Amino acid sequence: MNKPCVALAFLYTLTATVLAFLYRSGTSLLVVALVNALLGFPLGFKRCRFVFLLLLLAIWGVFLNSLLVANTGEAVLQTWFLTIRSGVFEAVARIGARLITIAGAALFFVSLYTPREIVKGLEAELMLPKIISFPLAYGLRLLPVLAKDWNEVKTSRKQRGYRTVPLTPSDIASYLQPILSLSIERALWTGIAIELRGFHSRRPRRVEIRLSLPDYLLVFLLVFQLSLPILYP
Amino acid sequence: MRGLVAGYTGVDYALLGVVAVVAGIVFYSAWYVYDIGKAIGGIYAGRILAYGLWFIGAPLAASLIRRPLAAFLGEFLGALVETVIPTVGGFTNMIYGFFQGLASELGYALLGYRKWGILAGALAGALAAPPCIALDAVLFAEIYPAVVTALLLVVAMVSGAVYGALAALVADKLRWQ
Repeated sequence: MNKPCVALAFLYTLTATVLAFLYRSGTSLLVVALVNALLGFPLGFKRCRFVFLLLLLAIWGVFLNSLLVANTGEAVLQTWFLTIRSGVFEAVARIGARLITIAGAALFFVSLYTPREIVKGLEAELMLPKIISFPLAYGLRLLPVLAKDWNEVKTSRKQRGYRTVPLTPSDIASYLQPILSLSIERALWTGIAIELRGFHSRRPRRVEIRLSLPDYLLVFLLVFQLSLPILYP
Repeated sequence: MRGLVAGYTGVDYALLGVVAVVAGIVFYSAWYVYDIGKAIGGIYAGRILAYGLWFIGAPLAASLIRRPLAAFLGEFLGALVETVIPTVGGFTNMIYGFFQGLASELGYALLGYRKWGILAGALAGALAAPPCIALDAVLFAEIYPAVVTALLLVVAMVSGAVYGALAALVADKLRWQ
């Protein structure tokens, strides 16, 4: 699949996130939320279902918060113990739209590329310094290794007749101690290995950005979202 | 920045990677702790349980690497991993990570980059709270009356100090293993 370049997608996501905060309320915010939800949610649904769960939890939290601090205006809903006023719904809609924009834009970016593509793209196209790009790449590479270590500790605990779900601090410690010790040992040898290969004299590779059709579409979407205050004053 | 990281070795770079991934996983899990805590116990419970977890990248990295800028990089890289995983916070995580990292770095700078123990970790964790509360107000419009804001700040600082001290303790143990 032809994808937009990483740097442009990164800038798009960053701008959409900033717009979610700049557009305080009204049609502009709702349109930005809609555009980013349509862009990110279908892409991220398969890979990041937990984000939707977090989103629902966050909106419920916003509702509780609004009951505490924004329960003003006309009464909209009355129960035997609580009156919910228009201020609550306005606050939930406003902050909900903002959260949907942020989550949608982030899902679009992370679902489109692998972590390796992201790090490589950011280093080559956006000139990310080595002190950021190397630990990020190494950390993301460690994720599956840590998952493997976790499963090994789990198997060992199972064989010894202990529970596999860590519930007590002692359980958690029995998982974390070997995993962290191993990771630090690995980091030590990785560090030595990269030094021996001349890591310090290595210069990051830079590439020129060449725009294709998906890039132009993304630029169009960005310009559209930026011009919303003019379209809906 | 180039001058500050000039003394970093390959091992430090790799250790930063370990801190980034550990902090990223903790930051990601903190979302569940925060949302569940907030949904059940309200704004104070959510903050005391979770906010400190979002500040541990800095004391963990600083206590492990013991070099200038390690605190900032640990917090910021953890936030980057959290962004890539991703969470509902999306790219705002990066913004939070940047400012919290700077604030925690200030803690170690105030101590002259000579103390890296539990107290320094607690200080770094507590100092990450003010920018976090400020960003909550600026970005998510979480603006409360002055007394509530002050209480939230205290709660976040206590949470940060406790988790910061814990992170420094863990790093110290791992360092000497």
